[in-house]
This record gives sequence, structure tokens and C-alpha cells, in this order.
Amino acid sequence: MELHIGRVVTLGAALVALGSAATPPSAAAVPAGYPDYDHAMQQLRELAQNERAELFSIGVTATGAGIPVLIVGGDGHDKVPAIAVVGDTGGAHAGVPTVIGMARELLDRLDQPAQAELPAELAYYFIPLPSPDAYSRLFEQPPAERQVNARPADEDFDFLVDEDGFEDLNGDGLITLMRVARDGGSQRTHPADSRVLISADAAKGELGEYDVFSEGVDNDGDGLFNEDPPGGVDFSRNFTFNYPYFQVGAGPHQVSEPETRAVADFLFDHPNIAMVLSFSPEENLAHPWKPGDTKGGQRTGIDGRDEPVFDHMSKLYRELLPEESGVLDAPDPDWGEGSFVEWAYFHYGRWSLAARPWWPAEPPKSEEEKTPDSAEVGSEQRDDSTEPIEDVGNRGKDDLRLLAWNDYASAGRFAPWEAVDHPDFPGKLVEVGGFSPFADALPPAEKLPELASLHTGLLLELAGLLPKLKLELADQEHRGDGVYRLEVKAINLGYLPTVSALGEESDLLYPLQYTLALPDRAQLLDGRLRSRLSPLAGGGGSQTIIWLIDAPDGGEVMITIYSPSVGRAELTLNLNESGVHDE
Amino acid sequence: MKAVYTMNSTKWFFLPVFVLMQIAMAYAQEPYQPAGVVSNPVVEARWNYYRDYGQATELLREIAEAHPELCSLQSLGQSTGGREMWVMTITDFSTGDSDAKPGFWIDGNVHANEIQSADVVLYTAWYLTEMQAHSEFVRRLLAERVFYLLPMLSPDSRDAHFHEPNSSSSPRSGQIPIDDDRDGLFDEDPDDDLDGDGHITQMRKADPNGRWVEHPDYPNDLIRAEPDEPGQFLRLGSEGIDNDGDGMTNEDGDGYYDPNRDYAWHWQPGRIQRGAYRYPFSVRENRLAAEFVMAHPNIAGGQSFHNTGGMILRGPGDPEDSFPYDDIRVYDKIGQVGEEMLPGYAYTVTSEDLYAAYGTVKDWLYNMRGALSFTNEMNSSFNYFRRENEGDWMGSREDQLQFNDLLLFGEGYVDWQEYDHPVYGRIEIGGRKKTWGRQPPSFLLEEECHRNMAFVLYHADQLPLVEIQQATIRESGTGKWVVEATIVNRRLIPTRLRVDVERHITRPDHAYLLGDGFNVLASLWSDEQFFEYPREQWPRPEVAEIPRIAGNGVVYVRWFVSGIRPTGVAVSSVKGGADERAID
Repeated sequence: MELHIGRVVTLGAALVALGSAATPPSAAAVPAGYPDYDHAMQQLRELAQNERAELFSIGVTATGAGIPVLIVGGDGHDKVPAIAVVGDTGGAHAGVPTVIGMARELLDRLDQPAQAELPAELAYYFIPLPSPDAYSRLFEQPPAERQVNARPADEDFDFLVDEDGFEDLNGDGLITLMRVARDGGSQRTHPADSRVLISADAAKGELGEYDVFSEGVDNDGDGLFNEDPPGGVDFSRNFTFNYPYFQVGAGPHQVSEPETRAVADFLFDHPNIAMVLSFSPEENLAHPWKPGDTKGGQRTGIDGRDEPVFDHMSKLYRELLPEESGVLDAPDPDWGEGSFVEWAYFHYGRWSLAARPWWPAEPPKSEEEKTPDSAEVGSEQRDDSTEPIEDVGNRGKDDLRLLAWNDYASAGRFAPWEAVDHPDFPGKLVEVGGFSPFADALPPAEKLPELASLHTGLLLELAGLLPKLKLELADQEHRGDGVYRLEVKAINLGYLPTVSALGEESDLLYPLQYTLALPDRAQLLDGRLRSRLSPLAGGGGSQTIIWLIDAPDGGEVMITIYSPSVGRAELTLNLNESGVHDE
Repeated sequence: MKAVYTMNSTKWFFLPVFVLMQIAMAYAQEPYQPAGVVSNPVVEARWNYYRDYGQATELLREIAEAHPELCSLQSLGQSTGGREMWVMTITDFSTGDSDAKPGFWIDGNVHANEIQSADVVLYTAWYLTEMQAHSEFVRRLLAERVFYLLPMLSPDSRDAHFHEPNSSSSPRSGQIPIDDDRDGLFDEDPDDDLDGDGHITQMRKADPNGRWVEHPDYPNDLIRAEPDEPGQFLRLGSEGIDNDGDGMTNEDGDGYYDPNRDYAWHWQPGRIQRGAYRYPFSVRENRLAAEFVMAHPNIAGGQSFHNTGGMILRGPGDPEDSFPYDDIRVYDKIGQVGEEMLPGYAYTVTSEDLYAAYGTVKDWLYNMRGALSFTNEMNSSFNYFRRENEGDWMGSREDQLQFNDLLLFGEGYVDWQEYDHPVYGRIEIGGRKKTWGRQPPSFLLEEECHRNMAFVLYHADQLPLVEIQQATIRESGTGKWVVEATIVNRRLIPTRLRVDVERHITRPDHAYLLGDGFNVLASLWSDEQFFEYPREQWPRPEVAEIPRIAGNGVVYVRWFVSGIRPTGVAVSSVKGGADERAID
């Protein structure tokens, strides 16, 4: 509902009155070529035939749909560090085919190791469809812009459930918007393109002309339109960080849904996960997260010590993006409430990276092509030198971009405004039109393979940043009579520290542990056989461990450091008359 | 035939015996009833001992079998360890749909070591069912209300406390294995009952360089040496050894997580709230209980039982949270009465006077289910000698030791015994037994249970109860009927608490007409009888949706009706019950 109100501010229409060249609308929200749930499951099953991959179901939704995880890493996957890759966490449907494509491409690369440098000893957990029922809404007839699961919910607090849904009033197979002509209404048309509706600013002397609602009738007679359609809970409003109590889409309480519990439990059950990469409009790669302090016991930003990491990853991401990508122009998302992406960092304690899979790019400008900015659409030839366009600031900016792309690509994502008879507004001019659901979030299907490639590259670059452990003999001394002093350094040569600042606080990740195995008849005079190391900073962070050993017969000692989410390193040393030697 | 009463010896014997038998039978029919509970209950039960899971189960079954018209027993499912999660519903089933009555929720033993918190719930079940036939108060209460009792929220750990070596403070956690020291092993280094006496006590070592000395009056106790006094002992901590050789002792035992930090309101993760598990209701037993509560929106009042320290607690547990003033006033009224009936108990606000606690049962029941809820920390040290004493929640050291001497005859402690410890050498083991301290000794338990139950029953009696005081009809003069009703709530607690109204937890109270063949054209409701500032019900004027009826409050409703004369007025409140009245 929140999402829908947001769209109301900025959507527009082809202007009927001046006979514009309108883009033909398409009857489906989802571009042809997107896999529906069954197709997606079929693709995953095929991938699972690769011996490195295994497909599991981690839960079942209210409609009986299984929630799949594809594990790439073979037996022992839970003993090595892992990256979880999560598809559509809400409003990022393209993440589903993208994550499946990434799994496919990764498996291809793993099958030909010589061709690509791959980080050693990593597992990957692909969760393309964390909320299958929410994804399947895209394939409903007619589809609406909803990203909630199938749980019946009372979204308008009238204690009736799912009593007022959408209706396709103009029979175009889509749920878009409707605008009702009214002097003093909340919306007006954009001066640069009358298809776009923006809010009317009374302080600037603007008088609105329309009230805008989602497409449908007031089924329960309460004066609101389509305020309580079937469903549901939003996957990305149901997690514990900054949870929006009692808000629409948040569910009866945190982690209340089979989808969120399944994903949360899977992640908790795999402490070897070091990083979570997801797809979401609530992204932090184009617009990296910034630090904030703690207000009322709640953090308002990342820990300052983690800021360089998020900035660095954002830089890598920007360098990977092709020039024609529009993702960097997408708006900077607000802090989420109950979002999965933030939960993964603030409560689950992992590096959490999220990307918007796609955003319509600015079409190339040329002399011949008409663009909406030249204001020639649907109007008579204008004399540019005499009439400047009214400045309305940033209002409608994103819609103008989407329309420009839509017209350029002939994407058919815009339904022209069309008058209908509306039973709740007898005698009034009511027009149905606007963007098709999730118009700005669905790349054409032919772009999906390149998005999968792009994000596989991103995944491997991120994997390359993970800690790399090494053990070195820093100093040694044979004091005589079989008494040896060893100084061993544990070093992290990777970019990332062994744990984030929030991760360290969370106490969820396993700290690095070291163990020492002594030869026969040896005793430890000082130091421990087993203990834990502090977190190691990236780029050479280290900690020194000292032992004093009484080994009358000399022999071999083996030192191991290990954490499931960091990795393992071993060092074998030989103790003899001449001292301690690296083997 | 003449009566034969000869004075021979056989008959002389039988006559007095006969007379005595008659007297005895007369007394047997009329047992002497003390004030309190009847002396001849249907279900025999003593209240001077603690029941483990099996014994509690047996008692619940006996009560359910003996009083089927008043109670029913169900299991919500099984705990992690396979024990049943019992819930007993108690009401007079003959007086209407039980789930439509205002409901009261009682839970016990979320912290398994706080064992009397289950026995008080069992006592309540037994008392209510036994006294329904003998007490007008109980009879009325069970006619008007429904009680849902869950005596053991953590049954696995309850049995662990009873049957495995523990102290009075353990196990607070549930039994899901957790790797507390993050070493890859689970629960590998718990406390160890080295001397095999079933209690986890303390270790000390004689050492003139130690800074502890024996208490001059009470040899069981160790106290700090004065700065100018030589010492006698080292204190070595709880009984145990370093099972896993990592240099730490007893660092990874049962759990550790705190099941009373697992509820949804203002839940916080472990880095802010120690003992939080994964997310709200990630502990199975809590999820089962929460699902039951969510399926019973008629629950208007709640009580959780814990020990120790003598407190009647209300939230908020989050120091940044605040409750609406409206609701605080209701809490205060009940809390103050509680202090009267529970001597030594203090009505306390968790986050202000105790400590920050995120994710507790009572905060969820109030903030997210709209039920006025308290937590009682049972067992006040005031009870030892009926005097205030300086000290922590278990009372002053001197009071406890004196009580042990004079009233427990020394049984409360294990005397110091020598032991050869693998690391510390020759030491002594001894200290307080697990069987008292946080929980009262046998002879104080029944009183504890009764007084706490009485607090619950007082609170339950204050739950809202809607009543149609008056229902009248007149002609409008324009061919229509005007029906008016006065609807009251004669109890302290409103039909919906302020948080319920603000957060839309339950629906408004509904007032509507009974009968057939009429058409409601409009309806108005007002909180004053002159309808100077009424509210109109639109759409659907047949059912007036009243946000709430305040404590000892009233609402007036007026319907404009055409067609056949309605026969009556009805009111239905989710938490305040229902009523119907024929139109006068």
C-alpha cells in the first residue's frame, strides 16, 4: 500500500487531448521470457544435476510452494566460508532469474578452473526465491504492484480481511492507476510531459486537477480504494532490525512468516556464512551505507569502522557496471524497516551487500530523436526561444526517465489514460492509465543473461575480498636441553577483516581458534594448547602467539587456526638441536 | 410382639457401639471446614512440596477428570525434549461460549529453575475447580470469565533442575544445545557435581593468603576478611572442573539462552539483550504458547510467574519505551492492591527499578495482544521473619543463615567436605542446597501460592464486563423507530486498553439490534446521554463500532430504524464479553 501511494505521486499518461503519438500498452507486466515459479524450479533442478550442486527445500509457503536453496560446494560445504546469494527480497523480481543465472555461470566456471581465477575453498548458497508467493504475484491475471506473500491480512485496520482488492476497469489486463478530475485535487500534470502526474504545490500557487488512486472500486464502501487486497506480508518488512510494529505488510510480529523463518533459520544454521549478497531496491552498492550513532538503543547507521569496506565495495561495483547501466541514477533508498538486507548486517552480523538488478537507462540523445524534455510530445511545434518550461524541481524526475526509456525501447510499459465509467464516481471524468506494475524494476528478458554475467563477476570479486589466512614463524629460540620458544604469527592477507564490527559485537560468528599439537613426551611450559585469536584486520592484520615448549625428543609441532566463516591455515614446525624450522 | 430389650450382656455391648457409630457418621458427613480451601476436596493434593513434570501432569489429569464441567486439558504440542505443553482451560462451560468470555492467561516456569512458578499455577487450577461449588466468588468468577493456565513453559529444564545436579539458580535456560564459548563443541563444560550430592555448591581452599574467612556464627558461610584481618580461604567458584581443557571452567552448560527474552515486543538480539535466541518465538515452547494466545484475542489480562525477590512487575522492560498514562493508572490500581495482599512484595516497573529487559512475556502480552499483564517475582525474604531486611533479592545474609538454623535446623546447606581436585588439589565443597533460596521451604509454599493466586483472581475480577443497562424504543413521528441503549462496563479495566485502540489489536465493541424485518437507516453513539457530540456509524450502520468503553464507563447508542420493530439490543466486545437485552 505504501508503495502504491508512492507511485501515485509520479506516474503520468499520454495526453489524449492533443493527439499524441502514444506508446502501445502491453497486456502483461512481466516481460516474456521471465521464468514463473515452476520454470524457475525446473531450471534449479537441472543445475542440481551438476555434481558440485545440491538442491534443498528449506520451507514451504502458505500455498504449498517449496523455498529452494541451491548449495554449491559439495560435501563439507559447511566447513568452509560461504557466501549466501539471495534473489528477490521484495520488489526485485529480476533477482530471481539473475540468481539462477549466476548459479549456472558459477558452475560453468568451476567446471573449467584453468580459465578463471576462483577463490579457493568457498561454498555458495543460492536462494533465488526467498518469497515464492510474492514473486508469483507478477504472473497473476491481472497483475498489480504488490510484493507480499499469501497470508490474509487486514491492511486497513477495519477488522475485515482482504475485502477490497483491485479491479481491471479498462480490461487491459493490468492494474495501473485511475485519476479523477477534480479542481483542487492533489495531483497535476508535469509541464514537460503531460503523461506524468506530480503533486500540486499550493505554496507555489499551483492548483491540482486530479485525485489519483489505484485501479478499482471501493468494495467495502469505506471511501478508500483497494486498500485491502489479498495478502500479505512483505518479506522485507518482517525481519527484526528496525521492525515496523503494526505497519502494513509487517506481519503480526517479527519473522512470523514461513518464508522469513525458513531463510533466517537456514542462515543461522550455517555459521560458515561470511557474506550475504542480495537483490533489492534497498541497495547499498550504488549508494553505500553511512555510519550513524545509536538513538534510543537503536543504531541509525553502520559502525564507523566498517565504513571503508562499504565504500570500497561500492567503488568496485561502480567499476564493474557497464556505461549504459542506469542503476547509478536510481534514487538513494531510505533506511528500511524490518528489511532483510539490513538485518543481515545489523543482527546477523555479516557483510551484507545489496544491488538493484536494473534501472532504466537514459536513452542516447540525438538531434533526430524526440525526447520528452524537448516538450514536443503531443503538442504543436513550439518555438523554443519564447517559452521556458515551468521548473517543478525534482518532482516526476524518475517517471520522466522511465518514460524516456520506455518510449526509446518501445517497451510498452505505459498504458495511456483512458476514460471509464466508474460506479463510485457517477458523472465524473475518471481515466485509467499509468505504468504497468514494477515497470522500473523489470529489465527486458533479453538483458537477463548479461545481468547474470555482470553479477557473477561481482560475486567473484566480492569473494576475492574475503580473508586469506597465513601462519608464519616469526621468531624462535632453542634454549637448550629441549626447551624451545616459538613465536608464530597469524596473518590475514585478504582485504576484509576476519569479522565486521557488528559481527564481532553480535557474538554469532565463530572467532578464530588456534590449536597446538605437541610431539611425544613434550609439555607446555607457557601458553595454551587451544584458545581464540582476536579479530584480524584486513591487509596484513596479525596476532602473535607465543609458546614455551619442553620437548626433550624434539619432533614436530602443528599449529592450526580455523573458523568456519574465515577459513583455515596450518603450519608444521620441526624442533631439533639447531632450533625450530619451517617444514 | 413385645419389644425385646433384655438386659443380657451381648445387647449391652451393641447399644453403646450403635450410638457411637451414629455420632461418628454424623460427624463424617459434616467435616470441619477451615477458612480457605475445603478439607475434603475431590482431588486430594498437598501443597508443601514441588511437583516435577510427571507429577504435575498427573495432577492436571486428575483435576480434568474430576471436574469436566469446569475444565479441560489440552497439549499445545511437544517441547524440544518431547514433553507436552499443557494448557488447562477453566470456566463454567454451562454459561456460554467460553472463548467469547473475557479471558485471563496465566503462565508459569518460563525460567525452569524458578520452580514455584509452576506450582502456583497448579494450585490455582486446583483451587478454582474445588471451590466453584463452595464459594460464591469463585462460582461467579468462573461464570463470567475463562482462565487459560500454562503451568510449565520450560518443562525440559524443569525436570533438569529437579533430577540433575543444579543450584537454585539453574537452569534458567532451555535445553537447546548452544555453543556458548564458540569453540565448536556444545554444552561440553557444564558445572560438575563433584561430590555427587545432587547440588551444585561452592569450592574453597584453605589458604592463609586467601581473603575469605568463615562467618563467626555460621560456619557454612564465607565472608570477606576485613582489610586488617588475615584470611583463611580462597573462593574457587561453583563446583566443577575444566572438562574441555581450554583453561575455562563451567563455561558451556545447558543452553544458554533466556526463554523470557524471546517475545516480540521490542525484541533485541544478543548483543543488546543477553540470552536472546534467534528472533521472536524462535524457541519452540514459546512459539506454541504465543500461537495459542494469538488464537484467543479474548484474553484481556495476563500473569506470568517467576522468582525471586517479592515483586509485582509491570513493563516497560525497554528503558526507551513508555506506556500510555491511561493504562498506567489501571496498572497502578491493581498493583497497589497486590502490595496489600502480598506482604513484602513491591509494585515495581521493570526498566525503571529493576533492569532493562527486552522481549519478555508480559511486555508482549500487553503491547501486542492488548492484555494488562504482570509478572510476579515470588518469594519475598520478608517472609523469613516478617521483617524488612537489608540485602539482595534473597534477603540479608544473616536472615538467611538464621532461618536455616532455627527453622530448617541446618538442612538448607551442605556442610563443607574435603575433596581432591585435579587442578586445585585439596579443597572443600559445600554451600546452599538447590532446594531453597529462590523458592520457599515446604511450610511457606502453600501461603505463597494462595496469596499470588488471590492477586490473580482480584485482577481477573477487574477485567471488563459489558452490560446493557437499558434498551428503549420510541416512534420518531416520521414513521420510524428510534431505539436507544445504555451500555456500561462496571469494572476497572476498559474493554480495550489504550494500546489496543491505538494499534488496532482487536476490533471495536459492536452494538447491534436483534430481530427481523427492519432496516437500520442510521446510527449514532455518544459517551454522554444528551447526544450533543455524537459520532455517526457509517458505512454499515447496523453495527455501531465503539472504540471502547472505559473502566466504569458508559456509552449511549441510538438507531434509526424502519420496518418491523426490533426485539432487543446486543453488545459484543472481544475482551469485554457480551450481553443481550430485550427492548423494554
